[in-house]
Amino acid sequence: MTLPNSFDLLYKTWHPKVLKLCLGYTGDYDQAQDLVQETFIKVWHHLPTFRGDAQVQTWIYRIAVNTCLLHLRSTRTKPTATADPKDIHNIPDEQAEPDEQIMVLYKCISQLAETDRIIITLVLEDTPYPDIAQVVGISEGNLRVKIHRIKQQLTSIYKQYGRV
Amino acid sequence: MDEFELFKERWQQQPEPVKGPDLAGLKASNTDALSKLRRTQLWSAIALLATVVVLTWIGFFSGITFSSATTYTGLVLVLVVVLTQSLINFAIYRRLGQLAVTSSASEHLQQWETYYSFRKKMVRINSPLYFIGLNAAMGLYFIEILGYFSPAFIALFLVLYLGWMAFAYLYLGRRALRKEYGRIEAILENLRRLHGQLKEE
Repeated sequence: MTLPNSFDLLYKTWHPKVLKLCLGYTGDYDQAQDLVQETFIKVWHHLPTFRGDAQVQTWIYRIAVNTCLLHLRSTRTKPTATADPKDIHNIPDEQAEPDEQIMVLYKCISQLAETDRIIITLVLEDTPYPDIAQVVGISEGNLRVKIHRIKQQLTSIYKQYGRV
Repeated sequence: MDEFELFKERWQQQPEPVKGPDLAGLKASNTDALSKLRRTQLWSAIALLATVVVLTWIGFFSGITFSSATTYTGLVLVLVVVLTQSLINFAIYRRLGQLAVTSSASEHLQQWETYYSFRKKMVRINSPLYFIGLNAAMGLYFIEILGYFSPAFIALFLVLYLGWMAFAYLYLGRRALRKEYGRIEAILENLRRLHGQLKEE
C-alpha cells in the first residue's frame, strides 16, 4: 500500500482502526479519543518525512502504539485497570448500540498487560504477524509465543464473564 | 471455531466509530506531548540567551563602567554560566527532536529510557551546579556594587540575599529536585516495565 495523497484520506481510512486500538489499550473512550488526536497530530507532523520504505499501516500503527505506551500519566493504563462498560457506550451513536459482548471483550482486554493489549488488539484487527512484529519491534518467533499466551489469558479472563 | 476466533468475529463486527476530532483543528494543532516538551526547552534556551545579550550590553556597551576587575570577572562568569545553561537547554531540545515516534515500540521505549536516564543525571548534577555557579558569580559582581551603599544597607542586603538563597536552595530547590527526581524515576520505572513486557518469552 502506498501513501494516500492527502492527510484527509489517511485520516478517514485509519481513524476507526486507530480508535479501536486506543480503546483496546485504555478501555476508556475519552482517553482513547485523546490518544487518537495525539496520534494524528504526530501523523500530520511527520507525514512529509514518510519515505515509503514502510507500509502505511505499519507506520501509522507505530505512531499510535508509541503514543499509547508513552501515555504514562494515568494510573488507569496499569494492567489491573478495568474498562468501564459505560465508556464503550460513548462510541458515537449514529451507529448501532454497542454489543454487550464487545463491552465485555474490552473489559477483558483492559486486564492484560499494556503491551499485550496492543498486540491482541492488532491480532483482532487481522494485522499480519510480520507487521505486528515490526510495529512492536520484536522477533516474529517471540511474537507468536506471546500471542499464544495472550490468547489463553484472554480466554481465561473471558470465562469469568460468560462465554461468547 | 475456537473461542478466540469467536472473539475476533465479534470484534470485527462492532460498528466502526465514524466521528473523530475536528480535522481542521487537528491540522492546526501543535500540542502533542513531545512538541510541548521541546518547546519548553527551546523557550528556556532563548530566554537565557536574551539574558546574556542584555547583560553583555549592560556590562560592556551601555556606558556603565565598573572600577574593579572583580566586578567584570563576576559579570563574565554570570554570562558564562547563563550561556552554558542556554546551550544545555538547546542540546536537550535537539536531543528530544531525535526521538523517533515512527520507530518500533521497543526501540522508542529504549530511546525514552535513555533520554530520562540522561535527565536524571542532569537533575542531579546540572541544577545544583547552575545554582552554585550563578551565585558565586553574583557574589563577585556584588562586591563593588555594594561598596556604594551604607554598611547597614549592605548588612540588610546580605541577610536578605543569603537568607533567600539558602531558603531557595535548601528548601525550595531540594523540594523541587526531589519532586522532579521522583517524577523521572516513576517514568523510568514505567518505561522499564513496558520494555520488560516485550522481552523474549
